[in-house]
Amino acid sequence: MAEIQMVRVDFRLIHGQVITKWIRQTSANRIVIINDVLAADEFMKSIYVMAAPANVEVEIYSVNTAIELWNKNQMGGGKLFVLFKDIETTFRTIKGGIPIKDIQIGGLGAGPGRVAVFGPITFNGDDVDLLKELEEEGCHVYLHQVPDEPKMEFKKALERFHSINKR
Amino acid sequence: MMAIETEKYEILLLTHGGWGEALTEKLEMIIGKITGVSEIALNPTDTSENFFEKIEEKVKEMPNHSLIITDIAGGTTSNVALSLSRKYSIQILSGLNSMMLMEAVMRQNRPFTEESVKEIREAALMSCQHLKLPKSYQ
Repeated sequence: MAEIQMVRVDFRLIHGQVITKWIRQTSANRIVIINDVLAADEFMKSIYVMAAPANVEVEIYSVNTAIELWNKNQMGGGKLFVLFKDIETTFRTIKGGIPIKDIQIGGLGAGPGRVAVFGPITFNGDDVDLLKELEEEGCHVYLHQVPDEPKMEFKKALERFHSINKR
Repeated sequence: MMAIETEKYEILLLTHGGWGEALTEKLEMIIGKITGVSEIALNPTDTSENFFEKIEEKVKEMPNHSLIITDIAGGTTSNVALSLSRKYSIQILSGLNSMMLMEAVMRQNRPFTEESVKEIREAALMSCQHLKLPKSYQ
């Protein structure tokens, strides 16, 4: 059974912060990206495979394949660093039965309807609803960009989100 | 006889936050006026997609066989450059440093090729040394 070491939601997937900081913080030897669009794009897959450090394997699955593999044999062996690009995919994956207990939110990008709640990390209304539901079901959600800087618990970020949206 | 301005192959720097611009500016102190070098900064809120679009706008206008230098291999700057190289004839080097940029600037009057990029890379690696005094002074 593979051991899930860290689950991060990061709109840039494998990038500078992840390869220089987070991977080294864990002892993960497999990066699993769960993303339907990427799973169907062989070319972009190869870019992310090249982006990872040499001693770390990269696998990219659609939500359905990931759930299927988890149900089959808990995704094999090794220590996993699981990456999502967005909250909606994370939500579907957890609902589908992959037991994720901690969710680190590293960045969700910018765009219409997105509100910065902690440094450059943004939420929109949908993110907030889905994360609230996950927390109620026992997931621990926190916001953390880079290890040496402070993190923020989801509850606090939620208050920020509402207070900014009221203005 | 008037000097003929030869066409220059461009160098595009892609860095986190845009530190390549400062590097270029300060390097002029060592090698004189630098032209044909530009930079596009990756900002914290950029998505890979909008960064890709910005870079493509620029790369479209660069001559074939130009050079992109990125800061971090495996970072978004590198991932985006690599994915653009499918469509455009560009060379890419990661790990921007002062010697790398100097060597690249000195080769701008010829197309960047497999061979010239290899030379630039070697020069950049050579410039990274653990400097120590000779034994007699330690």
